[in-house]
Amino acid sequence: MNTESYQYKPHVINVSYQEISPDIPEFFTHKRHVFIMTNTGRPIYVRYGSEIKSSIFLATINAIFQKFLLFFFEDKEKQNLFKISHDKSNIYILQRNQITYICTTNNLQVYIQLLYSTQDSEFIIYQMLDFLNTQLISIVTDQANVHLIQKPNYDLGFSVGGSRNLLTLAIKNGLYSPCIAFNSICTLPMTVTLRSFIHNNLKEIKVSNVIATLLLTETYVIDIWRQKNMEFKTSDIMIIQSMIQGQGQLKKGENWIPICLPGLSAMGFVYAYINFFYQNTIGIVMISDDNSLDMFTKCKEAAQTMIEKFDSNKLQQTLFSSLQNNPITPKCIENQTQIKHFIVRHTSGQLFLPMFQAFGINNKTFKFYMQQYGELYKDFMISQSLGNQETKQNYFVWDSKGFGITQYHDVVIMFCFNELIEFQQIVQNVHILHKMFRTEELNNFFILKPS
Amino acid sequence: MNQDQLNFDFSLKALFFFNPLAIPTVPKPSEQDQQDAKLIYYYPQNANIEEKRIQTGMAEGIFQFFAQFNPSPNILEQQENKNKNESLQFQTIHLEQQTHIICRVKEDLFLFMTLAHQKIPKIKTIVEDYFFSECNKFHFSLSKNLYTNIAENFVINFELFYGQDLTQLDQYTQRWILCNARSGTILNLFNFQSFSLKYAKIDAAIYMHLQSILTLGRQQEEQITDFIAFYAGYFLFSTLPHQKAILFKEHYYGSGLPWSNFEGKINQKFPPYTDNQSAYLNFFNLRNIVREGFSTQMVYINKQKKNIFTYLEKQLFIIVIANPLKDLQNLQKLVNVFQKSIDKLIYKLDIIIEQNLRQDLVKFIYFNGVNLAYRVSSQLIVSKLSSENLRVLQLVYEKLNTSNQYVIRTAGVWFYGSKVTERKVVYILPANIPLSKVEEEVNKIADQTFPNLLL
Repeated sequence: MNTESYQYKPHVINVSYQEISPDIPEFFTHKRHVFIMTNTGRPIYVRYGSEIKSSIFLATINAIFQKFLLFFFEDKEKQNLFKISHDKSNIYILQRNQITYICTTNNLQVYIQLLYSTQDSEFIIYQMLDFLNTQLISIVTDQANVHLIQKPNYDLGFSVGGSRNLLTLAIKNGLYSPCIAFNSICTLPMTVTLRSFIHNNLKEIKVSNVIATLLLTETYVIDIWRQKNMEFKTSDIMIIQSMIQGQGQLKKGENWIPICLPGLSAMGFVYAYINFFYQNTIGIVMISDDNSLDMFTKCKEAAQTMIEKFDSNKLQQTLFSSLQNNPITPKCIENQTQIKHFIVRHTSGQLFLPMFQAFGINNKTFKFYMQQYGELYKDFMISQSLGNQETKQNYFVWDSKGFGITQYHDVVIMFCFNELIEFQQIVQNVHILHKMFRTEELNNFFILKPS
Repeated sequence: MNQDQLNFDFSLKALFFFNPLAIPTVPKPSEQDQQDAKLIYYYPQNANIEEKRIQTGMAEGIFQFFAQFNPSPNILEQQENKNKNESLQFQTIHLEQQTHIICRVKEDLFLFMTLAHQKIPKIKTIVEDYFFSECNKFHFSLSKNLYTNIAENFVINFELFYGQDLTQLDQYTQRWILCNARSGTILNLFNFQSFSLKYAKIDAAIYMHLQSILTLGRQQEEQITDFIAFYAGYFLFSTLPHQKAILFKEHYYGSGLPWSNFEGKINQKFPPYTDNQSAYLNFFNLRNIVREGFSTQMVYINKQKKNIFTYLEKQLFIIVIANPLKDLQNLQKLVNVFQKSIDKLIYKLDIIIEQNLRQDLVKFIYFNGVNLAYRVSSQLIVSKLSSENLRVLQLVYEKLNTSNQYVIRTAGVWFYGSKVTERKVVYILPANIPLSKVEEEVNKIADQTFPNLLL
């Protein structure tokens, strides 16, 4: 396999589709079209087209939805509309507070070079819409919902303004990234000793009023330190990574910027110190609720201390090697005769992903894998919520197309095996994967010590 | 929430037919006249007239509006569509407690159904994981086909027994609910998925004996075109495709009605409509052909009107379908043939069926869309399939449409699904069998039970 295909390739997000409008038939037939509107039908964002040209169309949709929710006079209880399914197209609807997110998809049979047909995973679409909501709240804060309650005709689209690209990136990440799909960060695999060393350094440089410190790249999370008893949500980390991916200038020099992290505090802003070092590949992000110049200075000094400590231990080369070696191709996948691919999700919300980048442009093979993994994971989640406690540890699925999922202690492994192998070989391959991710090995893949 | 709380029951909140192309006949029609012209039938009939009008308008609008999102068929698909008969087109709209189904039967005929789901208790939500907190909702855990099956069942049954006669819709709707409801007006989503024939294990001798009786019967009246035969609810033979035979079986059998000519029970399920006999079909109407005022009953096979006659003796039930008869004389000869010939056949069938019932319980469910024959082994810890098991079984069944094998361990059992050409088998085994042994166990069962079916 060409190693260049493993490198992170950012999504293309600043293409304008302003000329597209609902007057032309192509408007309706995009494979995945996304709309965001207020509950009164005011457009906030349209993926293809301009919000102004789409306003009548969105008002019509909203009118239909509103009528629908009052379909039967005697039903006083308001219901949420989830999905409309028409022949080959599906319309997914997510309502979060005063904002409605809509994704329309066309389930055309698309034959890719490997002759597999791809069909959108409903699960991935909903996860994407949910992340899109998180991203929008991060841009405008939850004050937007407060404004909309007070003034239903409030023009939220205007507040989004120049952050439109972040929403487009959220859609792309939502559709293609396993991190969004499985609500997990992608941790950089490394030895236990290295991980401990890095973590101890992060701990040592802790600054008062810093809620969390992250060491990360655009796609990987290397380590996290959190204040005691403070929870730092996965979705917030993904918001930060998304922001870095979408705004290249954050990787240059030092930045001290306000950011709304909905998991932490959706109503207001916290401040993020961002400093990318080692040729702008690795970044330290420190989150604080103190926006003073003094705070910035303390973060700057702490970051400098850490970088010096790394330098004195020659960590730059080690980290570069780690990054260049990832995503790794484990030995069991090398020939791809039996195991073609797998993803491992730890219950703490972390992912191990071989062969492909967790963000950015990936090839169609991986997109196909993700659609299958998405459905497998969805069925798994449903069974978890519906099943009895004692059966929850035994979950296993496999189909003759080679895809499956197995729950093993604290990890869930989604896999793709060669479809021509016998069932006993499948059993053996599952055991290989279980062995690779048995409890004592997990520290190599995930950040497991509480931060 | 645990699996026992999941409930796939629903009630039919509304059902209506409309014709979007209908034009009012009154001069200078008002908007209300236009709406009224489009509405063909509405259930329940005592609904508010304004509600009926609004819903008809809404249904039409929604279907047209969201049809825009459907990609236009490419040239290949257009060719395929021309060659196929016009098939039903569905739109489903999923809300928290209701699912609406719109079915385009023809260009000028649409069916709209609203299913109200039984309320599911709210579970604790996990705010940061939207999906986990939402995944108990119907639209996540169940596939669209479960809903479209219901509309399809309604339409194809109506077309079979009433053809295009829309004036019969009210009686038909009442009966459809009655036949399919578990109790009162509560229906169940899975029932419509699992309509099937139970096959009696008859040998060649019995088969030939039945054929000889039917052939002799056919010789009495040359207009006879088809036969379907059942014994004690088990399917014996049909000249019509099995999918049609299922419709007849469900129509007569209903839900819980025993296969006997105990008239009191039959009348309870199918109350006789003396002024319109075509609305209800009774057992053994051939018995009445000599009586004055006997009127033949109709079915519509491939859009052709046919007469249907029924003959029931002990538990042998024969359906006779013929081209429209002007003269019923020959039917008495048909009855005589049946009366003289079937005793021996019934005796043999009795033995077979009794053996069927006493058969060793095995750990499988044979589920191929036309034949549901399930047995649950006493060795299986799960003696009865729970709602969750049933949901997973339906999932496995659907996955076998696109895969040849689908294996899942969840809810305390293994489901091992296998498909060879059109035959699907789902084996259910206890979850304590390890992964390394499950195939071996399945092979043992297959070798014992289906030695010749190449499964």
